[in-house]
Amino acid sequence: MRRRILFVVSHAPRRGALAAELLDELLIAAAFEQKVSVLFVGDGTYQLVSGDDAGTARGYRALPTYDVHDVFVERAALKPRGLTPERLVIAARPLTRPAISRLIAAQDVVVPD
Amino acid sequence: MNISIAVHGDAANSESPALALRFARAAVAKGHRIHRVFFYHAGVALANASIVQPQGEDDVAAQWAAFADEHHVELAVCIAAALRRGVLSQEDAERYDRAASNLKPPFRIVGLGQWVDAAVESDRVVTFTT
Repeated sequence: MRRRILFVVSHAPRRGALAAELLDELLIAAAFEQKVSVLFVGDGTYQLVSGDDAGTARGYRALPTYDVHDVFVERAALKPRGLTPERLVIAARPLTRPAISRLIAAQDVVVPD
Repeated sequence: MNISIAVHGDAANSESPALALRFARAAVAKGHRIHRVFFYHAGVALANASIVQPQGEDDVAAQWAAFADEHHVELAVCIAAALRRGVLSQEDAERYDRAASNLKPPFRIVGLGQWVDAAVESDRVVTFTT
């Protein structure tokens, strides 16, 4: 059975192995052919900023290779952090908070970082 | 209901394993089944047999072990996260030429695929973060 699994990234990068371990979990779920999506909220949006070559941004850039195309970002998180969708390493669909609620409600499993 | 639990924090730095255990006990008391408990991130420290809890403080790892034995619940520990934090089975200690193993039974070392399997096989997956 394919499950809808949403990974919610809310922490900034550079917290030791935590960011890389969440990405590992996500990629394994995708490799096991689950319906994987990922949402970046709050400081988690920093994980998508390009130029952070030692961080997880490079790994997230490879998501389409793993057939993960549902990438979302909290719209309200971008501006206060000086970010725009163009500065992110991957095309992420900005969502309002009500849209985020609907996204979470539609999942079988939600995995926080 | 068939429930799996993910524990992301260790006992020294978070309430994650203690809260997860309270949840597991409550779920079993209500007639639900715990399919698998998956220890990930810092949560793998629960399986570290070398940790000594001061007298008078709750030994959450021992409580988890007792709960697992009583209710036949699988305590699964991610191998990659465990190696990174020095939690080694006998087999891993030999493979990586380390002086000793310290995996606490009945915790078992598994791959991340077992977490996906738990997500597929369970009605609910509940995560206790750090």
